[in-house]
Amino acid sequence: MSDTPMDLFVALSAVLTGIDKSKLAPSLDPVNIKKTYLEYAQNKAVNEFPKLLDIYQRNQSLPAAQVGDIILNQSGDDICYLARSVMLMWYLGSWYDPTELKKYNGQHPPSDPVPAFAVISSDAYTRGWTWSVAQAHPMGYSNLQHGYWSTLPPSLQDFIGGGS
Amino acid sequence: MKIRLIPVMTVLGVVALLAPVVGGQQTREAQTQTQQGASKPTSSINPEVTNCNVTPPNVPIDPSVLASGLPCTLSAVPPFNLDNLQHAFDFNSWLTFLALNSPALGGTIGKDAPTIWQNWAEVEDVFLPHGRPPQPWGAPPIRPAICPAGTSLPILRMVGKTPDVLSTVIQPFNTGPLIDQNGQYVHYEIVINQPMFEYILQNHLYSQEGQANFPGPTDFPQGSLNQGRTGTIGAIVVKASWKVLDLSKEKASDFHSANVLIYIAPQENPKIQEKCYAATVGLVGLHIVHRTQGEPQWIWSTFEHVDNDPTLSDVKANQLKGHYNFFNPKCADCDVNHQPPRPWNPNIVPFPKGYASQIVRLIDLTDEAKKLNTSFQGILPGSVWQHYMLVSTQWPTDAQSKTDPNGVPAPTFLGNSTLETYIQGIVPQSSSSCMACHGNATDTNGRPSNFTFVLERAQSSH
Repeated sequence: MSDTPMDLFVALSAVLTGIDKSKLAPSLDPVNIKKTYLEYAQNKAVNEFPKLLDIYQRNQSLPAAQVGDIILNQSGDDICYLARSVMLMWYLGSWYDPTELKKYNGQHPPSDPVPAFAVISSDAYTRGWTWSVAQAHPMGYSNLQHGYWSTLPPSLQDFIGGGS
Repeated sequence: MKIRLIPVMTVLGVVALLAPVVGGQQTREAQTQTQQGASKPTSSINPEVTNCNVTPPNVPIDPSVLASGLPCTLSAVPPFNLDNLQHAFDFNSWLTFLALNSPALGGTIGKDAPTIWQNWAEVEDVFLPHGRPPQPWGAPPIRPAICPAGTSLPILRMVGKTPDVLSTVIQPFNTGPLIDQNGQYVHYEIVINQPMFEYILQNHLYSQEGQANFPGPTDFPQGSLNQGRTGTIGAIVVKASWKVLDLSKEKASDFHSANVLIYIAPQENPKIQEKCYAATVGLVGLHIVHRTQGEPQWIWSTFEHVDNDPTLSDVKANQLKGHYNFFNPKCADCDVNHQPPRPWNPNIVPFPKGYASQIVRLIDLTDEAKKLNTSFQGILPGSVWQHYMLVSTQWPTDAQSKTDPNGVPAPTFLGNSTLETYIQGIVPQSSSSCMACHGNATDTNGRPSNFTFVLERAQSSH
């Protein structure tokens, strides 16, 4: 098994999001949003991100649920909230800083109901997985052809892969 | 029975083992045949041919490829990764360019002469007033009454890529005219090959009534390769852009040129007078769009004249040529990539107040495309065709995707600076992407029309 940072990031992301690796990182991938996300996370969490990848690398042979438990519940707040940021990045195409997310889980969360965030790019906006999980599309952008609104969308499995 | 998604590379790996050998190379088309089963060509629409070009993309580019013919499908060699497949598609584009720009009267590309595609059917002659059926394939173009009789000159009838750009009808984007450095409007034409023409004719898709009665879905014939060099050509559309040559300033030998009649259709608002006049024009842009078995979303190749315009990086680095067709290197304050000021009246030339378009290519060619262009231009010394370059080829990376019927195009964006002048860029849903745009094409009943807008031109008999 190859263990480049990209390989680890994609495999880790599949564990965190529940979306099949082949969907997160198709073998023919002209958009290559994974590269944007990896570089973004590396820049935003210079110290913690390598630790997150390292934790995943050491535990990758375990079942996904167990790996998720280790990352989210047994590795400390910094890793836990960074993992949440990675999940939100894939789902929403935006970066929510881990320290910002942490504030919202305390006794006295900020009054603003939405944490500060940054949309990473136009591609990130259109590729946010939250739309695909809803079998829908972002406002103002759809790959589907004229008249799609009058038919049922493709299956969830078509969107996110996996299953049987 | 549930269908399980198979990762692309798994399929490719299996196919690599199963694929038939063509010219010593495995073809990517075999993958699709394995997945889909070969479609049966309707012989009267998409007849079998025995001379498909199966040259693989890893051969040396030497003069022998000039006469290698038209590829019926893509030939690719492993590894089937993004870069290698892009190279295969770009190579395929150049082979197609060489084949279709070969002389219509026979022979190999080189000397400037009317090309094969210039003898194809113009869409204006396919979708006639009142939904009348077109003349059979090979009939001479229909000549507007105002055009001089007794000449066989071809006719250019469009001043924008989209139909009726000067009227309010069908403007999918805010497309405007393009004005060259001599103040002349660029003129356009769209032609289709015989399999596409016959599909429209035999299914009566040339009229609104015919389209309403057609059970659908619209499924234009595909190029295919069956055995050896035997296969089918499939549907091909060519869109060309031409500039009027001022032979006192420009050399015809720098362009593929043609003596034509330019027809300006009458219009009421704004008032434009019907006109038809002779001119010598030079080719500045060329889309070639080919539907093939492995690429049901079609293969989108686009070429341009090498002197059309600089790239943005050229401008920033001040690495400019002395002359461009659509850019003035001496004008520092010209508005870049802006539509011309209205009114647009192609009868008033040169454009008033000395206006000329100032066009910059926003997406540079890849280094690989530049290298490939140099190789192909190198086997065309002394020919007008050495002055043309492939911008890129857009193709589906996942032709069977259910969640992206456009097939997840690569590259994501592609435009020709003479045909998609004002919609260049990288903004999803707004910037030029051949497949993403044409994926929304419909017939006159609002049904998907298989990636071509030409069916929207059909008129009603009522």
